[in-house]
Amino acid sequence: MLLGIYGWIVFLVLFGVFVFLGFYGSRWRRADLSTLHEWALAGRRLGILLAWFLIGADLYTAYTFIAVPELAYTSGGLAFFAIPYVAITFPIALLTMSRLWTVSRNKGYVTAADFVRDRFNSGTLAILIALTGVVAELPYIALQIVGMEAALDVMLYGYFSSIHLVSEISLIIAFIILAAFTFTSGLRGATLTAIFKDAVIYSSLIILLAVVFLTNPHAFSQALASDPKALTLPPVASSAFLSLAIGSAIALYLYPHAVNGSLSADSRQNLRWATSLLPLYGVGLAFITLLGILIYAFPSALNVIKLFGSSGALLVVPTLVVQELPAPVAGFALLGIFIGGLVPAAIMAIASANLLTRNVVKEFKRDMSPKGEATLSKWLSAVIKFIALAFVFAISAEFSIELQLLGGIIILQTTPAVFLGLYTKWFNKYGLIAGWVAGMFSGVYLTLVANHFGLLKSSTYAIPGIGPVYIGLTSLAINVVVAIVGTLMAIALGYKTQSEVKEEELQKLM
Amino acid sequence: MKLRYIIAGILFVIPLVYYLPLPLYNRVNPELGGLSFFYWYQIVGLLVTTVTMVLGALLLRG
Repeated sequence: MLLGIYGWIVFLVLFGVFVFLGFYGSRWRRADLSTLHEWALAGRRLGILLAWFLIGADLYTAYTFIAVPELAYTSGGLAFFAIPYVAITFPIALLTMSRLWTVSRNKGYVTAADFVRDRFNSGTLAILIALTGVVAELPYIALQIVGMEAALDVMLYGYFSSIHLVSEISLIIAFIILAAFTFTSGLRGATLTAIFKDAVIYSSLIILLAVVFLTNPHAFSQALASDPKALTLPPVASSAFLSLAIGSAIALYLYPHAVNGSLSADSRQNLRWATSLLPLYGVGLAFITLLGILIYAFPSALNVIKLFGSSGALLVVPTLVVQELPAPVAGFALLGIFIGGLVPAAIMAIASANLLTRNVVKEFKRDMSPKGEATLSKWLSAVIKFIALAFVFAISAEFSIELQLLGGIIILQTTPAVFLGLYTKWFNKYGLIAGWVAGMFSGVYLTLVANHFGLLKSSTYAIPGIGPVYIGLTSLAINVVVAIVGTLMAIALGYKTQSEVKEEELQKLM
Repeated sequence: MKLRYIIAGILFVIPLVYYLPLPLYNRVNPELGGLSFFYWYQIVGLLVTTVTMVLGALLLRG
């Protein structure tokens, strides 16, 4: 076995604390949780620190602990595209989310699709944007589950003959608990558990790095000597590196959970402060990424990874944790990885449920009461979690990061309506819909072609003269061109956009 | 357009400018503690980004 019994005890006790905090959220800053903005946006009352933790919780996810180190382990320097990604995403966030926050406070919006509906005066466009958000969120939630499974696989190794079955049952139990506290506490429970999760993760990371460098001060040079492909980025991968970074950077704040986190801030300036400080989270991400390279300096950990065969690369961080740390500390760190998947999954499910309620169901059932909206969202957030769980049991990707990149290809197609819409009302709704259709179809088609209609293992497609480029960015370019041409045609035909959002409503509180 | 908005805009573009010239930082030397320049240049960029963003947020205040 890889994790001793004391590690298990620490893990289970802290999981108990996590569950308590999740339920305690309903009593924290007590309010009427039967309204959507209280349940789903924590009453829009999160200050700098809380907003920083909550939005940061979307960054320190299984993407960070499992997917990016896996890519570093298998492909070396390419994985570092995640660093420019987080550096560039926050300036974009600051320029877009402060306007979205302001208009949402003025008009009572809960989702980005609420804004699109009024901005371009189109229920159809709002439904498309909402469904895009929900679908894009599914592979991202699925990635969280893959990460939780990775932590469980290492923990269960040696205890059971069928690790797979036991880990699937454990996941289902964890999701039932998660669904129960999300239902009762909403974003409040997610915020409290996000603070707990990040505290566990920060301290684990510091301990792990301290141990790694104290036991082996030359870990970097040793690792790069035994894995020379990781010394720098192969020049052929340059276009993939930059396009993945820029595409991911544009995508992050289009995701429903990132919008949801931003709208829960208590003031526009506090949202700006929180966003400005978020690149610091990236420093932790960078060191976790480097663990995928550092592991080459630790032969005993490498041997453990080989025990797990083809799925071993997923286990870089959990393996280093159990091999290099004493059992109780390892249990503590593994809990961090486990709830590092669980908390973001909860936030993502809440945000998806809001979209389905506000922008799809309500579109057909205009007379829904505020209480009815909240109740429906609560149930939908539970259903979405289990759909994502089924998604994981059903689909497989060669590299887990492809799940997140697939989500990115989908969500990027909402860029013109949401991000450009925050700055201009020039676009016509039919033009935007045509652009969305072109972007979505080209994105899906290029993804299928790039993977030869089989197992998901690539999200880049080679463009002659440039090299491999992230499909999300290519299809976004197609989307924007079609939206512009479509809008010009609509203008020529005499269509005018009747925007219900005034410019000053985007700039200051009315 | 007020001057402070223009300066804030420039500050927000700095991270992109920092990371775009990939061939300039995609190399091994100078190493830092055994780590290639490629990696630590990018980590330093996160600190640069934080500083430019905080300054930008300061300019937008009010």
